Amino acid sequence: MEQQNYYLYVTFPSVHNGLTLEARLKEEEIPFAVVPTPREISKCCGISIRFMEEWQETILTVIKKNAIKISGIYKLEVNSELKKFKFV
Amino acid sequence: MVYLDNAATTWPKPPQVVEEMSKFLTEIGASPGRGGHKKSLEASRTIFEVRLKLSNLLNISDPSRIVFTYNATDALNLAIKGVLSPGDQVITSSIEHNSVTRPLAALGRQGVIVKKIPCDSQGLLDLERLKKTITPATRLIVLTHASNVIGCLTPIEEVGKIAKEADVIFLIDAAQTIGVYPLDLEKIPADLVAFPGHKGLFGPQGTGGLYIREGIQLKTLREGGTGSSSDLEFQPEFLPDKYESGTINAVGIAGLKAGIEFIESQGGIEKIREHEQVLFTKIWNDLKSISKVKLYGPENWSERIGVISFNLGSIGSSEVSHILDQSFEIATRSGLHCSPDAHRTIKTFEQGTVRVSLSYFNTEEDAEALIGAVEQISRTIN
Repeated sequence: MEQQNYYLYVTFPSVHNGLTLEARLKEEEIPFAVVPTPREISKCCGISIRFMEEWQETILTVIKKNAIKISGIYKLEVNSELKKFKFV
Repeated sequence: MVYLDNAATTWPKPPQVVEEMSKFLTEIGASPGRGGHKKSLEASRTIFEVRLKLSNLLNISDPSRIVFTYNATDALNLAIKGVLSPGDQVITSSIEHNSVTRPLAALGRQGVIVKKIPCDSQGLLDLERLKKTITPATRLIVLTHASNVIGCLTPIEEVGKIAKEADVIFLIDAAQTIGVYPLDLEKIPADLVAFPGHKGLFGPQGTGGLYIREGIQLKTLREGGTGSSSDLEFQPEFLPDKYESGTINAVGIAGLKAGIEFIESQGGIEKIREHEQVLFTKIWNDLKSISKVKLYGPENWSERIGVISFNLGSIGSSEVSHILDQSFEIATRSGLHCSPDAHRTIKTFEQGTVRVSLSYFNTEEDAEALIGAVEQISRTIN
């Protein structure tokens, strides 16, 4: 996992929204991790769902299909020790 | 001890409730919604699951519209004070609990206009009168789903329609019905439902909740840490966080989860109601056959729940209740049951009533013990 160049983070207004997505992703067997929200983007609730870029479309579909409230999706670039968050 | 005070709080609780709370405290224990470590997440998932279970129970689609409170009174205060402002009119009935009557009385002092619709001697609400009382200033109708004194049910479906037509917010106090009488919010157009966790849902004391329909905005009664939007000085606007400041009673809610699962495992609310009907019918009919007993409220099961008020001649209700406790090991409740208006309605304000309230854990033997005891006491009076 750590060799990946990109991670994407979904942030949520409430932990409740995050756990709603977690439950759906588990059902659909999509790989992800629930992680503390990085401070750089932590205007939201304490947890985020982190996943690899290749799952972006699938996860967006799950979010839309279930009308899950999210705050945003951020991209973490791990590039020559520089972390950069971009709002997707 | 025969426990017949389940309208105050149910006892015993299913053993699973105690086990779940013990498990939560020993194995999880962390604060839900705070931090992203494993234990906090486990705590959050527990709370999340209970919200789902409650939303299934009430038949609503968005579990985040349920916020946890410390009891039904807490939920009622949030709903009532969150909606009303000076100059607004609120309509309620003459059989409400003090959990509704007192917040309204307090707001009445601040300029809210409180209208109480009288109920008849069976506790029945006059729907026509309710309709006629609605004015352009009417902002809220608040009614109990079932009286905690008389046991009578309120026709909430009809009231919900009236409220919806008049564009008035409708709040149901489900203190006595959650878990023992179906409450389907797909069918009943209620905007707010306040409920306890420690009565019909078999959770521990210190648990309760409020359902808030999408589109209903309530003022907050308290602000504080929510584990979300921490960079902002002002309270977040989204649910459930907006109304859940500070660490919630997670261990209690874990217990509540087991309480709801117990109801599910027994076949649901219908099964619980069937069980209570058998006991109610026996108690009602046998008490009725004792000449000095006076019973209150509707006789027909379809119009009521398992809360029975009675008196024995003109003896004070507290005396009867005390004898039942001391000489027969039967726990009942006497007096006014925090509902003076209901007692005025059935004309028992002076005497009070002896209240017997059932739970799924009561047995036919409990019913027989009560009936035998009341018979014995009745023989000692003239």
